[in-house]
Amino acid sequence: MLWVDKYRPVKLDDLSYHDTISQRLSSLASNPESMPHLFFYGPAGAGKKTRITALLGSLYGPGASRLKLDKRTFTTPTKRTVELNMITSNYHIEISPGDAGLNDRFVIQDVIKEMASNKNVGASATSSERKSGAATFKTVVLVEVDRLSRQAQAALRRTMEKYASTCRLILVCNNQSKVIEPVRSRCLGIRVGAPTEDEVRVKADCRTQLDTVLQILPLLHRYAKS
Amino acid sequence: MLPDELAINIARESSRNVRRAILMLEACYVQKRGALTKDQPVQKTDWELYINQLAVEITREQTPQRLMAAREKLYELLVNCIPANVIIKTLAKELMKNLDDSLKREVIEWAAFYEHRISLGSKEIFHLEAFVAKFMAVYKKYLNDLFA
Repeated sequence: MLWVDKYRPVKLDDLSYHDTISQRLSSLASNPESMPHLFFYGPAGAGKKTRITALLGSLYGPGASRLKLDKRTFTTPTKRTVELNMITSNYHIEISPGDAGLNDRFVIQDVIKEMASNKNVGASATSSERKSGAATFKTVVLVEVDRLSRQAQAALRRTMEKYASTCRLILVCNNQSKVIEPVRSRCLGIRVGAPTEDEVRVKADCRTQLDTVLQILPLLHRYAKS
Repeated sequence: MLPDELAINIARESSRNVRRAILMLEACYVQKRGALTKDQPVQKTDWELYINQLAVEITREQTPQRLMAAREKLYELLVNCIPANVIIKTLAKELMKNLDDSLKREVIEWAAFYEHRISLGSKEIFHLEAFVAKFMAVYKKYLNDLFA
């Protein structure tokens, strides 16, 4: 396993910079009912995905990290089939709809409808079993939304409102200007910038190599500016 | 464990990308089998070296043969899943390194022009090649004017 994956922080508390974002995310996670759709944007390698995984972890508990890779085929109304990879857990689904090319509109509608139509397992359990404060919705993580076609983005605006009660969306992209304004305004935008000097906080860990990995961060910040 | 000098080098090379920084660090670590030394070179990724080489070649010689060779290199990059806009951006930056100041503005402008075409069109290779050809034309003209 590569270090990038091996030492990826898994909890919101473990994140070592952008503390304000981490705090906001943990306050969202502590009161999931009030969580809006989220829209993460920022340059590559800044930690968007890491933050999302951590957020999902604190929303749903350890179940959210039991992932499996699915290959699904979608059939468009014009009888064309599109094959797409998706990463799923019991609580969320992660998909890169841009891979579907011109048929991305049908793919996202299908996926969101399907996710919204069957309720979260945790929510359907009897109230005594339910962990208090656990999220009752499922989450759809759409990555690379800046690659979505205009039509797909337009279709997204209706869909995301309609199913807002049972399903939350997390949109991820590098360039927010490629996402249409109506979609952006329906989400809470969170900018994850590349690390800068002021936000450094290094946490030492007893795991052997992790020390080395974390040591790089402050230096990265210091030289990021020059 | 990690010498400061090496960490500084990695930090500089990584262009504020944490993922890249950690990958580079691991590459260094594997290279020396766990012993990190302060003067060890930070390995650039293969595709960056490849683009660098391409940039050197097209500044050295501007001929149809060279253009054919450049096409092969561009194809090689594309089949290895390097996105076309990354290729054109990196290539333009590499070209900037040994280019006369008077040409820089024009080359950047063309790079932007063809990058826009890449996102409009569907065949990336056309526009990458067009950029290379355009660069060759601009550069050759500059050289001819210089020595004429």
